[in-house]
Amino acid sequence: MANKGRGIKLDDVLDAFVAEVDLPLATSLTEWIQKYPQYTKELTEFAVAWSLMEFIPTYGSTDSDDETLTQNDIVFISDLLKKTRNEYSSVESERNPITSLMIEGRIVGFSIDEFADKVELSAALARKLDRHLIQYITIPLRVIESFAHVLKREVVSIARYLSLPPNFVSSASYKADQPPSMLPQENFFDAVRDDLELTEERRARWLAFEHKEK
Amino acid sequence: MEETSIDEDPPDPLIHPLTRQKRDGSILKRDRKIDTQIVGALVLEPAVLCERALNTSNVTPGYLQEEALVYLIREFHRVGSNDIVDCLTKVLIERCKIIIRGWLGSLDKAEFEDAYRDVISQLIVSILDLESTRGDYLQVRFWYALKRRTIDLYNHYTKAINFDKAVLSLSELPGEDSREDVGESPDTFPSTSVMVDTSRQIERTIIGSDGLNAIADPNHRDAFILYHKYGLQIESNDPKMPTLSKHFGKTPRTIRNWLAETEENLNKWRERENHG
Repeated sequence: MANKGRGIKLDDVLDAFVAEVDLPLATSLTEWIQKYPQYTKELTEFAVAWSLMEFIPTYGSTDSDDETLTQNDIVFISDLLKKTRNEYSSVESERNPITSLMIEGRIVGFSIDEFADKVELSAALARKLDRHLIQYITIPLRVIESFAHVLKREVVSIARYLSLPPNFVSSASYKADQPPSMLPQENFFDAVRDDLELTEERRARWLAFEHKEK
Repeated sequence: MEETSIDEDPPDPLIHPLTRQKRDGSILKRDRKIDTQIVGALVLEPAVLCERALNTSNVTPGYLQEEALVYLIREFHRVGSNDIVDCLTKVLIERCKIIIRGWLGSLDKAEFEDAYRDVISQLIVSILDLESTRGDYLQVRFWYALKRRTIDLYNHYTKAINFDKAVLSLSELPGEDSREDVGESPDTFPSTSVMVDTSRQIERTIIGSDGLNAIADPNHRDAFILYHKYGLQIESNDPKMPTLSKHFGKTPRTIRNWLAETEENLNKWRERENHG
């Protein structure tokens, strides 16, 4: 009876999940996992995020309840529309710096896992690169080119982004008596060796660059 | 719930049909009412169309639902009528703004505005992407489609925060004590001698209170909410059952410690609040 639906896309499953389930209770989640076992991990993560989004009290940090668009909203939307229409020249597009590779990936339509797969990395490695936790000088050019190709951005924009220093972990630093910390950086190839999610084939492929880079 | 209304009539020949497939393999269809709104709007002068789009009362004749607005934005984008695209997009975002910001309200202030803008970005890019079917479901169940995207991004932001915390904790000084997963070592936190109440008789005033925001570790807070509010089990003999232990990648013992610690902290918070 269970429709395994192996050919169905994740987006379709999640769209239907939101439309058909009032609240992502554990019972409803279990039913959907039985229907689509190939998306157990994604459904669980999604349901957890949904539950928390519905239930964690707001910080009250939003601005007024006025639904009118602010001037900042209008400028942001106008710029985005222009960019999406490719009205910016390639020079102008450099003035719109990348703020996160993951966000860029979402904007072009990829989940985190899909994005990582497209650039032939694991999600954990992609996140480390996104958060500048990898020493820039150890990153193979091939990685930068992959990101540029997938995100349809200039190689120099990706390189510029990856060369930024690690972020301060402002919101992560919940120990109030300690100042915000700079996150440590690691060698790209060490990160590849230690990564638990990377397939062996991809690990070998990336480690081959280590000898070429030397 | 059906993904579309039951509609035996053929689609209106004046407007482009959807091309995305449903889960059963059939093609997605807009509600007939939306098609009617679209056809009615396409014959209007641009200035009149923009004026009509500003109408927010859904009982007024000529009201354009969000699904219709999505179609119209795409159509005018297709033909290069940028002014109308700009106008209708701003109307649509204005209708969504408060709701999106409400959904994201539990994010830290630092992430909140970025997440809000990312939802808007993704929405607009999906609508204007004429090459794929990303904009189709927005024309059928706009609010569900928007909510799904918002949950995705919320998940991304909370994972990023937790990822940073995980990296930071690994980089802490050697000898830093961790209460988590140290094999069979006994619980050291005093409150973990309190058994987690498996009947979940947690006072309802605690759940949903600002006390939850006072919990320092978001993993502990999240586990507490998922366990008490959403019924996620700590562990299960059924390998297919989602559990807190699997989700957080921690032993059941650690999860129980988290829950007990959080409950005790919430009780202390409540006592402080009650005594002023």
